[in-house]
Amino acid sequence: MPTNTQAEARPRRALGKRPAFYGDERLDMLFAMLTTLLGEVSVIRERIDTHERLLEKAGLFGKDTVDAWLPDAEAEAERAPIRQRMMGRVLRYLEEDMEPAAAGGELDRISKEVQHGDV
Amino acid sequence: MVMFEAEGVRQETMRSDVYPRHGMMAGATHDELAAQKYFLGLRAYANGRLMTQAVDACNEQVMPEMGERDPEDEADRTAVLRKAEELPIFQNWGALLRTSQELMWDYVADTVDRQLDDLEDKFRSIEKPLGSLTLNPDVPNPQYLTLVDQHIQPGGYLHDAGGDDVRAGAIYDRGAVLYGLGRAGGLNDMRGHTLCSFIQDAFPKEKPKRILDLGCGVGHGTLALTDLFPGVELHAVDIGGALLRYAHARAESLGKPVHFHQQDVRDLQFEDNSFDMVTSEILFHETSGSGMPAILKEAHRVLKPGGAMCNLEVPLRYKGMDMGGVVVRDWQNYYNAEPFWGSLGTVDVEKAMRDAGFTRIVHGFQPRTGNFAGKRDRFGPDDPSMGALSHWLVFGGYKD
Repeated sequence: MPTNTQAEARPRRALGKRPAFYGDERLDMLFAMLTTLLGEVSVIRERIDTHERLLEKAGLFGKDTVDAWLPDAEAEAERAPIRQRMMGRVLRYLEEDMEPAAAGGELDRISKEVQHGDV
Repeated sequence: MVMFEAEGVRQETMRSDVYPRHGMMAGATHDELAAQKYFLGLRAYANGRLMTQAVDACNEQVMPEMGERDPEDEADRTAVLRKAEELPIFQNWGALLRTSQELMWDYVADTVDRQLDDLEDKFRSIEKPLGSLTLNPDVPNPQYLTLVDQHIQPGGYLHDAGGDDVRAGAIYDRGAVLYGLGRAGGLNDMRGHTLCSFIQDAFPKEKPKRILDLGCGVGHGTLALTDLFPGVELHAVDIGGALLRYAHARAESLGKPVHFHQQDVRDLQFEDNSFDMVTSEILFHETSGSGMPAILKEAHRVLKPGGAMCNLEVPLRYKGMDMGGVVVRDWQNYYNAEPFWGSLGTVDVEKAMRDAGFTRIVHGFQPRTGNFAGKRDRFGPDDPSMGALSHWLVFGGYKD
């Protein structure tokens, strides 16, 4: 008999299939992912707030200092590409060809060619 | 406790130090607590603003096409729910409510699993217990608890890895306190106190020496009975082994003497005529159409003649409600894995008690209280349900 409950004996999912409220499981999956991601962002935001408060308590700086701070040209030059990369990663789907049938057809054709064609 | 108003919904959030101080509660780290507060915000948004719009949309857009529908008729409720599910606002509300419930259990599991070894150590090191724990892992689980994980808690009430496993109880306790924070009292014992105030109001002469509490879970309601009847020999029954190990350790950490037993409430292992009082809190809505009468019959059997059964349930009464309000509640049946929830909204509790042999039956709505000694101002079966925030359904009777 185990003395402690082993990690593999700790269920993290309820019985049964997730319901599809939007009539499309993929849409429901995306909804759940987005809601969960918002939770992660909320935790990070709260942690930043805690950091600011602790730094102020330690006599270093607080929220007001952060709010009043303006990046100089060098800092801005380093930050701008970081922001751009993040935006590009999230938003690139808006401008890519998202037509699944077309993409699927294309890959089907290529796969056939690679496997059986003279490629 | 920090209070704030969000979109007309009074939301209550908390700091870690408002969590009840008993030895078994799994405490949260900074980030775990932040995630759990996020859950509270999601839940308030889903069940506040979004649900109001879902109810209105159902009443205004679906009902005019549906004709006369009876909120007490299951087929009518299902037909309206299916139509309502086509409304975007209803889909959004449902998706958010379901996802928030999944997240709640997942966040709480993080907190519990991180310190599960410590919690199991605490269970192992109980010294000189005031009460006791009698486990019987061979008792068959009722089908109404194996078909689903109740309120989609992963593993439900039943999951038990054996050994000193307390996980199901630890997750349920923290989940329930989180879910009910600000309404359910520091030890999540508001329902227990409300049941006690019902006993005082409706059964004022009872001075039981031996009480049996059915479907005790982690003992949220059970412990209040030791305050109402000091010195009582209190027995409590549930089916989940890990739940009961946790309940035992929790009761001991609070210095409350309770004898916990792993049994099926439909098949109690106690003698006929052996208890002065039998109680339950929010038990029946998690059973079944055949389970509820079987439980009432067993309670009647183990009660001494002259003994009383006193029950508290969710204040769900569909009669006279608008269909929008009804179907958002009936939703729990299907999407929150509480398949008997809707039936409880229509069951005739007086008849159920009578059929089991009880007499001098009383039922009504008991004002919610966190202190059974406090003032009460309303009780009666004809009063409308004010919802779980202010009143609970209570019913009881005697074995003559």
